[in-house]
Amino acid sequence: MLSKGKRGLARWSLIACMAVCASMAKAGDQNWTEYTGDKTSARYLAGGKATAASVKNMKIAWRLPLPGNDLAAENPDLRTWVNESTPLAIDGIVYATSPLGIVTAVDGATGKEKWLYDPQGYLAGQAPNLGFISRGLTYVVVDGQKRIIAGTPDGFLIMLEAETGKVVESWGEKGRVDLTIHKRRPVQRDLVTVSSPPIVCGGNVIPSLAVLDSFASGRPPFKYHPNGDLPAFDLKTGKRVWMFHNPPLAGEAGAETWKSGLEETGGTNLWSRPSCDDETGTVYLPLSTPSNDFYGGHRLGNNLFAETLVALDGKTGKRVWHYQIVHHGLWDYDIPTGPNLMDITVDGKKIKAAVQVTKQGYVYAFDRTTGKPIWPIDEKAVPAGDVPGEEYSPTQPIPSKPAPYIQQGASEADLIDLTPELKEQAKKILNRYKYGPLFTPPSMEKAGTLLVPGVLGGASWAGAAHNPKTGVLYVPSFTIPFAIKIKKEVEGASAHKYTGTWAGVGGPDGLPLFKPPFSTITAIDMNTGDHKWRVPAGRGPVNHPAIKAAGLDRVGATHQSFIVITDDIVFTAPNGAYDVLGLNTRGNALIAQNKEKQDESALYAYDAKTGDLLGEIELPLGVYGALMSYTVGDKQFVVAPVGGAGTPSELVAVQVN
Amino acid sequence: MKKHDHKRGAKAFGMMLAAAIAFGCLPSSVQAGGVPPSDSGQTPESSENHAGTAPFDLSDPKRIKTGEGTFNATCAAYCHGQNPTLFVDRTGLSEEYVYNTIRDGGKGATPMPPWGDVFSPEEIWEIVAYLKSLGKW
Repeated sequence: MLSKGKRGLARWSLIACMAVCASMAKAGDQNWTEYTGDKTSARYLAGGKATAASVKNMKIAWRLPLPGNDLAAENPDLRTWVNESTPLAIDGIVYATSPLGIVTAVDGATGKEKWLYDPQGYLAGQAPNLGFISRGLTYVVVDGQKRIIAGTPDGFLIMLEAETGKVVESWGEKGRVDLTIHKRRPVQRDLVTVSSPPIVCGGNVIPSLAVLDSFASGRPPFKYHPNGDLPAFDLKTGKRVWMFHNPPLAGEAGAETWKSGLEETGGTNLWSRPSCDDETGTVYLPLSTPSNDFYGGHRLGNNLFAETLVALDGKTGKRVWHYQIVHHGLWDYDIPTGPNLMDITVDGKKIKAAVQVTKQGYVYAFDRTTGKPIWPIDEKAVPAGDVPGEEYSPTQPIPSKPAPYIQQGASEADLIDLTPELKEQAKKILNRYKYGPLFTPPSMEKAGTLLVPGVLGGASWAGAAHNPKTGVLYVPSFTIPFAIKIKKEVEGASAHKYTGTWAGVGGPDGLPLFKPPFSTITAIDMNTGDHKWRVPAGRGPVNHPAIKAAGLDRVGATHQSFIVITDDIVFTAPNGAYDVLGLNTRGNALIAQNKEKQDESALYAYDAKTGDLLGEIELPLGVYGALMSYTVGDKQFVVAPVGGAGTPSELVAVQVN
Repeated sequence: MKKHDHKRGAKAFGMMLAAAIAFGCLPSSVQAGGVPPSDSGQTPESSENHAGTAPFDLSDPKRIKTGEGTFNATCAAYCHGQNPTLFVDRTGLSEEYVYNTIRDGGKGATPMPPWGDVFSPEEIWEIVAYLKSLGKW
């Protein structure tokens, strides 16, 4: 039944009438049925109505407070992370989740709430790592019935009727599946959370599940940290139909890549959202880092299927192919987003491709049927370190094409040099750290090793967009270097002898450490592997007193950017700025404060062919979640999640034509 | 549906204090946003190694400026942020506690790294001067 809770959860009102009031939904409207637009992770709206002219006059059409803001404000236990909740839009209905996992459906024509369902997944305590995050919902039609599948902060999947919000009691256990028990060992509930929505592939529901990451909380790893065992559930019944073991069980394929730690090692999970080829029923899994993120002396070997792109038959769970992007990971370079499934033509040959963007700045392109690289990927020598007990992979796989889209590694030549003073200060900062080329391993020396790109990317969970007609890939990326310092753990306090502490690294006078652009959008023609254009992703700190005199136009925001595209327009919005405050009540997640005054909260519109900036509009509060777009009647909207983390979570819709 | 467990909430509150103190966190401005107050009036005995006293006047604007630069380069990116909410109008801190937290880091209770091997005592005191200039302590 509709559960509205006690505190007026339904008290969310439209600030302005949704601009779609005038035009009822009708055939021909372009829906946004998946978190990433479609299952190929294209982040592309077919039939977009925005034009080079129209984006010069974008306007805010509506703002929608998400449910649960009052709970988060009143109860410190329920303080949320920034708002990353991206809605779906289907046949004139907007389906939204909220940071606390409360689900609503709003009539796009009237702005009226159709239903609200609160799974109350926050009662069990706060989700790990960054706390309450619910990035989106899953929409599916089962035997002609429209369904919504929602993940909860406490590790359940729930199936709802899309028309009414009622729980589909016949699915799973009274409409629910408990992800904490579908592992080789049950896991503690406050160590996992569903932040990314599940995907339906090959007739099964395949869930993403975040697990406690020592990186975020600083909590020492346990002997049996939650691992990446991945179950799939029958779409019609909710019964478990297969499980992919990650790490593999002893004797299974991949186990031979573990000289130690096979059974105990955690992480390696499916955290972000995978992609699915509905024609073949193949699911493409971007898998995560093994625990702990920065030291692997207890898990010697290459550690399959950590940091591996794995193609599975969605129906049976059988592995079709895999490719490990990082061997024996020590950098938290987990694969941050599902691959873009693109049909391209290379040297006259049509290829169904899986194109994987990465934190480390490379695009890995495969024939998605066979897993064979489209362009050679060579194992190249990388530096070793000297942390006791560690065994470093001597090589890492380096694509020969496309060229990287971001700075990799660090040298003095990369330092910000807009003035001689800045360069001198930057040198001083750089010399606090050990630094070198990409894959220089974490160190106990100095203030640790400088990771460039840092643990957030490069490309990030914001993913990349592609145009299925042209085969052009659009990659947002950014550079926040991170310093990782390995420290010896107190005996008995941690399952591992060494772990890493981390810190983001800035440059002189509050500017970034390296030369601009600080973030970029890169368009890559995947038919040739060549870059088409590369532009700064946003204005960035051009008015900073130390560089204002240089008269720079755009240097790129100092954060990641979210992206959505049409045939003609690339829309991006830089991530907002927030401060990390410390740990939450249970010591399992960081808490943050959204900056109410943002330097750059905007939606930008670029020419998809040239990268020319065509238009921009300022947005209220910081943007923190993936963009989506849809049309109703003759109007196109781009929607951004804003706020959260001490400020109200809202959706903001921009009319772009 | 389960009811919210208030006993567990109280226990969690205690844990929060422990975590907050270890991290040196929670500004008064955020208390309004829903985080329990941390200003219990206690100065945590976080280290056996005493910080001693500042070797210069912590209200020296030049030192504050230098400390701000150091903070922005090492503490602000991704974590505390520039003009950090955590410290603006903050009450209840002590110079020695802040110094020790920067020097020793989170010591396993939080992911904050120790900076004692990186900065000279003088540089750490400059960061203390900057944070003190933002707060009310």
